[in-house]
Amino acid sequence: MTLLLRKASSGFGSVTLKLGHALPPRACTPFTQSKHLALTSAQQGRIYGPEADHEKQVATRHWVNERVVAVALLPVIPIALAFPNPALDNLLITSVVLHTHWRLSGVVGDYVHGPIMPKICKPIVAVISACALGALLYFNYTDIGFANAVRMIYTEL
Amino acid sequence: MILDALIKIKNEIDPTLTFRRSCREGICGSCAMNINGGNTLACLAKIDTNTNKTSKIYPLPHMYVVKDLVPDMNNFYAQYKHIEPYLKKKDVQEEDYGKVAYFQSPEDRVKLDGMYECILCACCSTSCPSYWWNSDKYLGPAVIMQAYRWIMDSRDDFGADRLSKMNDKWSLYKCHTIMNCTKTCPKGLNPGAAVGEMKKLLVGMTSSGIPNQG
Repeated sequence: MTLLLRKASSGFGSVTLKLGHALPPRACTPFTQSKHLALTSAQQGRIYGPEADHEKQVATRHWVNERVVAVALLPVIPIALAFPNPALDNLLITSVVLHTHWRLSGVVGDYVHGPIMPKICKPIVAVISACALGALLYFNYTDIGFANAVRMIYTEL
Repeated sequence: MILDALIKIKNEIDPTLTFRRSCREGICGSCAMNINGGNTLACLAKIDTNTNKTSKIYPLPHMYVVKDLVPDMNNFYAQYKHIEPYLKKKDVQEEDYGKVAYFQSPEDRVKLDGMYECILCACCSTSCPSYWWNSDKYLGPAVIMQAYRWIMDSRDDFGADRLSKMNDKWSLYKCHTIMNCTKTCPKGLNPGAAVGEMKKLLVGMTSSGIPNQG
């Protein structure tokens, strides 16, 4: 049985295999640019593949903003706690709630799967963040302010 | 090595024990499995000289098991195919392939070191908790490192397109720098660093290969 392996000129994936006995030559299809994943699996229906609709550039912008806020929190927390005033209090609250909201959404994305659970959990996270922001802003506006409250916890409780 | 023990068990005790193996020298990547809690190649993992201890051998974590120690690798291979791991040139017709050598300077070649040696054993990807929970959408360190390898290849003309493939919420950004991948690589590679370099590239910083950690 002679075996002829001839690499066709179109590079990766195009290999023509000819066997000595009468089997018709079977050419593999060259790789296309499609994102279609057509491999079979021991578990049918298991492979979803990477997302078909890519949110371009948005993802990277969002990732960068997450890191910027996380790093910005490092100076903002001590400064805001050291100098209690309404402007710094609101800045502190906004950045903390924003950071927490993004990370909680990330946790939901990591751990909550399936068709319906994410649809429930993502709005819950949004509601929690909105309520937290609203409550803290209200506290800042009507009461002594977030930094002063933290000071009270450490000195008077 | 553990692979020798597995073969002995298969020969003398239980012929139905099923596992993948091929080169028995740590280069093919077939015998990747979880040995004593870490993903390595069975042909490179030493048996504990203290024979009172038992070795715990499991298939690669969070992979669908076909039989015994054989996992279903189709998802992993599909993700590798998705990043188009081959040289792509602009303005070169099919009939001109192979006629001209594409030169590469030694400095550009050095950028591929630490990435071309990947044997696609999937030890790193299957050690990543993020890949466990999202293996359908997150590509995993092995595939991301290969995507970075092809972006870093100076002979390739489609770097920008390859990069934009990573630009969605799931493919790359589900890496939370857990670094299990680098810890477990049986070939001593650093996929975690490659993922970091890929993130740098997406932000617009320049990157010149995995930093040499000495």
